Amino acid sequence: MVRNGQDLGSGLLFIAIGGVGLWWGREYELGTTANMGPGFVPMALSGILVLMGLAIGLRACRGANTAIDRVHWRPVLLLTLAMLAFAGLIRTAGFAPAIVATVIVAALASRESRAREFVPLSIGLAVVCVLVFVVALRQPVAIFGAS
Amino acid sequence: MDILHNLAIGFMAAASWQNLSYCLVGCLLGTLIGVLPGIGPIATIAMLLPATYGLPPLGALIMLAGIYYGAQYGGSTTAILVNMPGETSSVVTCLDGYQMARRGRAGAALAVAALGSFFAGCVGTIMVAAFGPLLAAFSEKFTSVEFFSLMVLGLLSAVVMAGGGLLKAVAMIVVGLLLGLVGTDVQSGTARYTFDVSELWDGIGFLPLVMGLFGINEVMINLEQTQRRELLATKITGLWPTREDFRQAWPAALRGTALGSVLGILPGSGSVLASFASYTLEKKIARDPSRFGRGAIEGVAGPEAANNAAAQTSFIPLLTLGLPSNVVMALMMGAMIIQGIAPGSVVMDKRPDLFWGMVASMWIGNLMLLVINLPMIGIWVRLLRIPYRLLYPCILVLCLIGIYSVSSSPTDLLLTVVFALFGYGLNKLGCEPAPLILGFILGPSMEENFRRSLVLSQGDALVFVQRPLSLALLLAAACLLAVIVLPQIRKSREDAFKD
Repeated sequence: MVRNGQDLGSGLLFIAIGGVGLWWGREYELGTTANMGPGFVPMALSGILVLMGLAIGLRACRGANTAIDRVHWRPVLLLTLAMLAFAGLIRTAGFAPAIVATVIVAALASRESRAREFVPLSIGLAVVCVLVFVVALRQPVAIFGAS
Repeated sequence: MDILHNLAIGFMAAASWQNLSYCLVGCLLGTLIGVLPGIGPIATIAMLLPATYGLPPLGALIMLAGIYYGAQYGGSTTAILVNMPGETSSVVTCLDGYQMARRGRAGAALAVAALGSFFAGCVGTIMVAAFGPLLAAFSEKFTSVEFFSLMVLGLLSAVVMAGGGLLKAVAMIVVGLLLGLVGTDVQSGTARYTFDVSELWDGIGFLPLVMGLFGINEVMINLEQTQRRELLATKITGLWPTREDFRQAWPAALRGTALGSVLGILPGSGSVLASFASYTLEKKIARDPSRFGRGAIEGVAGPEAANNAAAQTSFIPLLTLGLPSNVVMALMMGAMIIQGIAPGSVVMDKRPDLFWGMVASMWIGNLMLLVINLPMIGIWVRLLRIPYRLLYPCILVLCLIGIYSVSSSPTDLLLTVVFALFGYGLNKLGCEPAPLILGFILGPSMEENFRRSLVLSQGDALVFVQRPLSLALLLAAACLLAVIVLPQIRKSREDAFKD
């Protein structure tokens, strides 16, 4: 029986990455050993990775019992959302709104955050970043609006 | 006298007002970010990489070196004051440093750590100046065959010295090598693994990768634990160690320096092993070993000196062979490549001002940390009080602005998201991301050397064992693997990484 969730999971992950490598690389020219094409090394590495993934996955059947650590969804999802907000807003809404939105969404990731703290923080950080990056370092971004 | 002459070139290059100010800014920024709770040196350096992008090459390298030392110094500060090691190499500093702080001797511990590091840094700089050219001259005989074997050895030894499962770590290297291949193949012009995204034609950006895997991933992990930090020593008094402290600390620092300088040169070992080894040594030769773990000053001076000496001498393989021995060196190498410098003996020949300027700036950086940072300890302590809930949104925003300011492309921001999630998944699966970075950074040149070797040998793969130097390097790699598999040594390795 599978007891080592970490080993099994990482084995599957490596097989998946190697598999993607083999599948996407299937049309790259292999060449000969004396004159390798662009596909030789990627295919070799992907193949090795699949084999290693198999070895790690099979090892999971014995070995120590280490379950996969619990995933904490709240920080992961909210931080991801915060980063996506930044990526989406910086060109459309502008530098300052992007920062305010990112800080507020990110702050929600922690249970300890308090609105009376992070709302002023987001505005303060936006002001400081505008002064440092736009005014002083002259980054080519619009403070408000599309750029 | 060659060394003196070369060092003179270096100091001339490094001591311009401009470069000194880069060094100063680097040290201050590095300490500033490094001392913030929950941000280790690797994340610090990754976060500050964009700051160096716009600078001229030497300025950028000098600032980076400053950031590096600052981050390390910041790491020991948090280790001593809040018992939070920023990275594995300061785990040992926690043992006795924190105990000293609890007895109201935080000032002495910080000062001894800084002085020990400075002394070790001076010795380390001399080592780099003395051994760098020797190794570079040696590597001039290398062809692509030897370079390939050297990289195999370097990657394997880096894995052996790092904690965690060996098989997983090697698999992570392979993932890194594959990620390094993304982009246009130089020899044929074929776009590989670009998934029809035009921004990937130049390969995966270094910044999104390291920021995602280290900077942002670290925030995600930190948010899982409720932060209960206990900051000691409301006021740090008595910064200067007593005469008795000095008497006990200096032999330890001396031994630590010697140990660290040697261990740092070996590819892959780096500062972690050095600080552990030094602590063990001090404990073994102490008259009263029971003092250790209860605030023995040797337990701070020795490992801190060893760690800094190793940090310094680990530049030797990077600067002379182009071989990063740990993640920090991989970050340095990434920054150099972005500046258009391929680290290796060529740099030393063609741009001696660059090489020696950087060596000189290492020393200057160490000095600055001592004179500027130690008196500023009060400010750094105040930073330690900032609660994490206010800190991490700012870290996140700074990472994102850093990435965007370099590439101005939302694609890089999305890549960062992908790598942050990937890193989080790896963490849950118990895979260290460090080997991946090493593979990523060495991937392109490893492929190039591999292909070129086989062109030279007309397709005969035996070429790697037929050339004596290459054979020796591969044998060394095989020995390392054998050593790891032997149970006795494996056990002691696990002990060392138990903390």
